[in-house]
Amino acid sequence: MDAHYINEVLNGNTNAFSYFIRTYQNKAFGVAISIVKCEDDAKDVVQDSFITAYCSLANFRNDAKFTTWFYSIVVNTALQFIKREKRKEEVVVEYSITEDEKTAFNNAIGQLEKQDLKKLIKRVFEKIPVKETLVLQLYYIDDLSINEIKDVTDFTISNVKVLLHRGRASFYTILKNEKINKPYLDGK
Amino acid sequence: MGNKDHLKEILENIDEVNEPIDLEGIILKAIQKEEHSKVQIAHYKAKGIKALVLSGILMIILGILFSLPNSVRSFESSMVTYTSIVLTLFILFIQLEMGRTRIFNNQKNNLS
Repeated sequence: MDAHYINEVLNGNTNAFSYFIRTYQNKAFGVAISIVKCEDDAKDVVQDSFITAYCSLANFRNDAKFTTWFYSIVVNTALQFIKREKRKEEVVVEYSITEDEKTAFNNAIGQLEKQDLKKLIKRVFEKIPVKETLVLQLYYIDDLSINEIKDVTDFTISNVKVLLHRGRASFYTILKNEKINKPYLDGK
Repeated sequence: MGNKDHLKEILENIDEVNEPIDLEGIILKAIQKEEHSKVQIAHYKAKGIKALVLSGILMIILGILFSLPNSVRSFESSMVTYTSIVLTLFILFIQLEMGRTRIFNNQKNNLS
């Protein structure tokens, strides 16, 4: 399907690009916000990423997966954005959580309704360092494999694994530190 | 390892965390603007190249006129000088009018 629309766009049918926008804008937004941590900035990043993708569509190799190629554009655009903004150094989360606590949190969040779980993840992701959130987003939400994450981010496989491990630890630590175990009670 | 799998299991039905967005109109508009700018830049570039070629030809003509032998003086000499000045002004006009450097730069700035 992607290949058909890519050919349409390359043949001069600009409106065929709508297919990509409709299909990938929400996924791209998820990836962008995991890096820039702000909705308005993430929308700007998504817009810039689509324009970059449109302009460089001729360079896209058909043997590659469009999502991987496009996600790498989004990640690069978002990283450039925060570099331009010169964001302050992130506070490194202290990992002080036991296996029992993790199991308790797993049980608690496993019983949440889908909407509540989404709110909870969104709140936790806002507090996790950029690279860890990015890897968690790509692995757990976008269901990318570690190899695909490597292609999208240009991190090494071992780096992705370390970030996943640290991201999971941060996830549980924030649940504990922020006492975010009942997101449905605070109305956010 | 067990925790990792458990988290994956819990999050497997979540494919979006954020509220859906709709940027289709904005992005298509931005792309059209981008395309328009590119067409304009190509147009100005073509004009600029034409102006350069024309300037080159005119300069060659000027060179020929100025290299005429000194024996051709008086009326002819004045004609040569007069024509040279007119041609120089004409070159300047073409450079300014067809080059349109200000508009060209604005378009480039819009793209970057």
